[in-house]
Amino acid sequence: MKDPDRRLSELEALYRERFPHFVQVACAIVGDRDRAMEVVQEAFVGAIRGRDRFRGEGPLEAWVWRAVVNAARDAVRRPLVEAGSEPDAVYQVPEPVRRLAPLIAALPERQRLAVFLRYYADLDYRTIGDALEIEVGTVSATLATAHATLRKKLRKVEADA
Amino acid sequence: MLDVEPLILDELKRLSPYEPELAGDWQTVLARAGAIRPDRRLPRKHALWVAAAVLVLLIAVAAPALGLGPPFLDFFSAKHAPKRVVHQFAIMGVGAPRGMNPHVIPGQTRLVTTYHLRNGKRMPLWVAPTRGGGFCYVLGGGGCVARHARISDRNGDLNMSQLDVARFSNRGLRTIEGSVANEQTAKLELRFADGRQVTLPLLWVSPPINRGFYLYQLTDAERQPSHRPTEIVALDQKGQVLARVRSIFRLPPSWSNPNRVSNRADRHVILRSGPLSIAIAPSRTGGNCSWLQYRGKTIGSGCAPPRFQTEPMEGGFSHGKGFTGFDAQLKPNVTRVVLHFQDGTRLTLQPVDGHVLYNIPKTHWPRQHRLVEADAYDANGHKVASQKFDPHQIGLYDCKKTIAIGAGQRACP
Repeated sequence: MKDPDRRLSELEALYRERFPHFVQVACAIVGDRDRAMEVVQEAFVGAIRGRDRFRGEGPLEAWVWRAVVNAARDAVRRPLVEAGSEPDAVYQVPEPVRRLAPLIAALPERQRLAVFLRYYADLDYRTIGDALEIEVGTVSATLATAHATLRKKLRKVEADA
Repeated sequence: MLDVEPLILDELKRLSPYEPELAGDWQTVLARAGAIRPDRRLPRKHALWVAAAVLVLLIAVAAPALGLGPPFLDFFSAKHAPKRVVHQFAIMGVGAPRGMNPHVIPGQTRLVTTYHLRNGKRMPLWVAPTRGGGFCYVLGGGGCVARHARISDRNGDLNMSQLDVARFSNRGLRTIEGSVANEQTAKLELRFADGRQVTLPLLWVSPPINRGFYLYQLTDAERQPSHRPTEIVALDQKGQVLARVRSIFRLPPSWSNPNRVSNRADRHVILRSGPLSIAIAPSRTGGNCSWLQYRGKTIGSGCAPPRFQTEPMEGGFSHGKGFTGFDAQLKPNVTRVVLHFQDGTRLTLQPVDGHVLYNIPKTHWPRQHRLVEADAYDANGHKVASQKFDPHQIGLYDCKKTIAIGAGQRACP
C-alpha cells in the first residue's frame, strides 16, 4: 500500500488539475454550479479521509470520479436547505427549448452518467467503468444504448416538427 | 445514420460549460478532512491556551493580551448548531436581490464561542461559511462578510475591508463586535476619547472562516460622550498599524432626525398618489425634511442637507400590504422623470419641490408588467440620470398567492 502522504499528494494533484472537469460533471448532475463545487469539495474530503482504503486496483482518478458522482447523486437526493437554491429557480429566465437537453435528461441514470463522464470528463471506458462500478463491456453497451436512444428520439422530434 | 456524438457534445457544453479558470481551495479541503492543521505559529501547549482563552473572553474586564499569541479554534472541531439556528442561516439571502445572496452553507453552522456579559447574559457566536469563501454570523443580530469585501476607506479609516466592525446597539452603543481578516494582527486595540485604550481579546478561527473574532462590552462610563470609543486599531508584532476604523464611531449628525430639525407645524403635503403621500417641512440645517406616508402614517423620512444628495435622482420603492410605490428625490435641474415598464408602458412624472411619487397600480404588479427603469431629464431634454430595477425581485409586489422561495419561506413572486 502506498504511503498515505504520497496518496495525499496524488489527490492534491488530481484536485488541482481536474477541478473544472469535476465541477462540470457534478454541475450536470445537480444542476447548480455553486452546489457542484460544494459536492466536489465533499467528495475530496471523503477521499482524503478514506485514502487508506484505496487498494490501487484501478486508477486513483476513477476512484475519485466515483466519489464525485456518488456525492452528486446524494446531493440531488438530499432535501434542499441551502438558501438561494430555490430563488435561482424562480429567477431563471426561460431559455429556448433545446432539442437534445430534455432527451438527455430523460435517459436512465446510468446512461446519463456515462454520457456525462464520457463527454465532459473525456474519460476512457475503463475509468468510466471504475467510477460507475460496472464492467468495461457494460460501459460500451451503456453508451451505445444511450446513443441509439438519442438518435431514435431525435429523429422522432425532427419528424414531429 | 445520424451522428449524435457531436450533437451531444455541443448540447452538453451548453448545459454545463467548462470553466477552466475554476479553482477549488485545497487548504479548505484538507482542513475539513482533518488532514492537517492550518499553518499557525502556536506554542505547543495549545490545549492549555484554549482553556485560558475561555477565561480571557469573559468581558467583565478588558483582558490584556496573554503575550503568547491569540487563541485558535479549528472550525470543524466546533460544535454543530441546532436546527433552529441552522434555519436562521438557511433563510439568509432567501429572496435577496440579485447579487446580494451570500450563499451561506447553513449545514456547516457551528458555535465558535459564547461571550459572557456583565449582566450574566450569554451571547453565543454562530458562524457558517459561504460558498464564496466568506462567512455569515449570528451574534444577537448578524450579518455576512465577503471573502474579499470591497469597502472603501472613509475619513480616518485604513484598510477597512480587513477589519469588520459591527455595533450591537440596545438603547445606545453597548457592545462592539466584529472580526479581523489579517493574520498578521498581533493586537487589537480599542481607543477612547479620554486617551485610554484597551486590548481586545481575539479568537482566531481556522479556514474556511479564517478570521479573528472579538467582542467588547462598554461600561456605563464608556458610553458617555467624553469617554466614548473613537477608533479600533489592528497592530502587527512590531506595533505597526495594519487597519483602523474611526468612521463608525463618529456621532450621528443631529440633522438626520427630521423631528429635531424641523417644525411639525410647518409640515405640509406636496404630493399624493393613491394612498401614498409626501410631506415636507423646511429644515433648520438647509433644504427640506421629507416624510413618505401611507394613509397618513409615516413609513419613511429623511433630512439630509441638499449638499448630501450627490446624484440627480435618488429613487426607490416602498411597499407593504396592498401597495407598492416609487418615489425619488431630485436635484433642481430635473424637470421630468419617465418611468418605463416591462410591457412598454411609459409614464411621465413632474417633480414637485424636488420629489416625484407614484403609487404603482395593480396592473403593473405581475411579472412582465413591472417597473424596470426610471430616467430623469433636464429642461433641455437631456437624460441626466437613470436607474434600473430588477423585475424579478421577490416580495416587492403584493400578490394573492405566495410561492416557496427556499428554506421553508414563502413570498410574493
